[in-house]
Amino acid sequence: MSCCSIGCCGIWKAVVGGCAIAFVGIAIGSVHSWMTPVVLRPDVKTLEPTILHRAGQVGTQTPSNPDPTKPATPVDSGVEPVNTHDASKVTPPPEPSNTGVALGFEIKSEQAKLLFDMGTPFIDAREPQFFAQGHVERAMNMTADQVIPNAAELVRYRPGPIVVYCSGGDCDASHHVATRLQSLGFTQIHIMIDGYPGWKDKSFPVVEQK
Amino acid sequence: MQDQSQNSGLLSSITPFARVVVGGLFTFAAYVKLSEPQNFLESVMAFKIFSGKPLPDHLATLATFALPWIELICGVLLVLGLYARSAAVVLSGLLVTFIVALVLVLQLPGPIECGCFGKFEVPCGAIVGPCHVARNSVLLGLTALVLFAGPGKWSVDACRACKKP
Repeated sequence: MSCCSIGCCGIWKAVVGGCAIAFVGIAIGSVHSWMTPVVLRPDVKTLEPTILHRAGQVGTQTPSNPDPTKPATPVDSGVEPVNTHDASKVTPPPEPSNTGVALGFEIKSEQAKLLFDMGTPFIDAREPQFFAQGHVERAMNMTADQVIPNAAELVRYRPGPIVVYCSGGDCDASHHVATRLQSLGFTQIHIMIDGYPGWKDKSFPVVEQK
Repeated sequence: MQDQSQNSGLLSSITPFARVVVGGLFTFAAYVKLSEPQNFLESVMAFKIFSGKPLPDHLATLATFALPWIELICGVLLVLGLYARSAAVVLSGLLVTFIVALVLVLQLPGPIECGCFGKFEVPCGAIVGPCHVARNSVLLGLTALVLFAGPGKWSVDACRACKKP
């Protein structure tokens, strides 16, 4: 008994045709993916740590990428940079006052607060409705797709550190913004991994909807 | 007998509408995704539905480009009514997959962007919610209509059938 004799011939032909369409789509997509580069995540290896001369205030974060071969970029708020050789040796507890602390790619809100106090720009990568409900004081709201259109505004913060945050936890929005910032030439990008909830829990400065 | 022919006449009038709506939407969605593949890749990576992990890198990259191309081909075929049932099979499969993925994403903590239509998330917002599941269910219904009732009037398939001796 053939399929057509029980009335499913049309559907069967449609399924075979559908497989052919899917195959063509995958083939074209494969060629397209080969021709068009996309970035899955920020290239942490090319980022530089931010060196802080603030011994005694930084927590236990070990820099994720302290590269002693690269010079530290001076930060812009009176915090004296130190050489990265010393910075790469930073381990908890905090170093004596004449050495530096290297902040890696992912930092906690306590470390972000040090950068905040230095006037470092903060980018809130969440959707505007969440930004409107509450955000870090002075933070700019910019989702990943808004970074490149706002490149002219952003590049004036370069060189220098920049902090990006979203909702913490599994939130990837800050990493996506970091990817775009990297394409703009930023090399001192920091992700505040505990996000806005972590910042707010520590009673750091926020602007909230009344 | 007359009721049956009236019903089939009604169906062949409705299915062109279903074809154009679903095909048009998928063509538009594919255009948005292909014009900004980085945005769509990030949306794909945000769907951490495999024990809280995203797709492996190579699969995510392939999905970023293959999905919109499949959507584009099926969308255009559906609008034209050319191999419409085959296109409807593929889109039905995609929509079922999307609905399952959206339901799984709804179980995850935190807001996750759909990325279905890029910046133009209508009628639902950018953040995945029950609205997205409902929208895809309606589209699945329309696609199933084309699959089981055929492309209907004003389709290339209908013209080809007419010309057969």
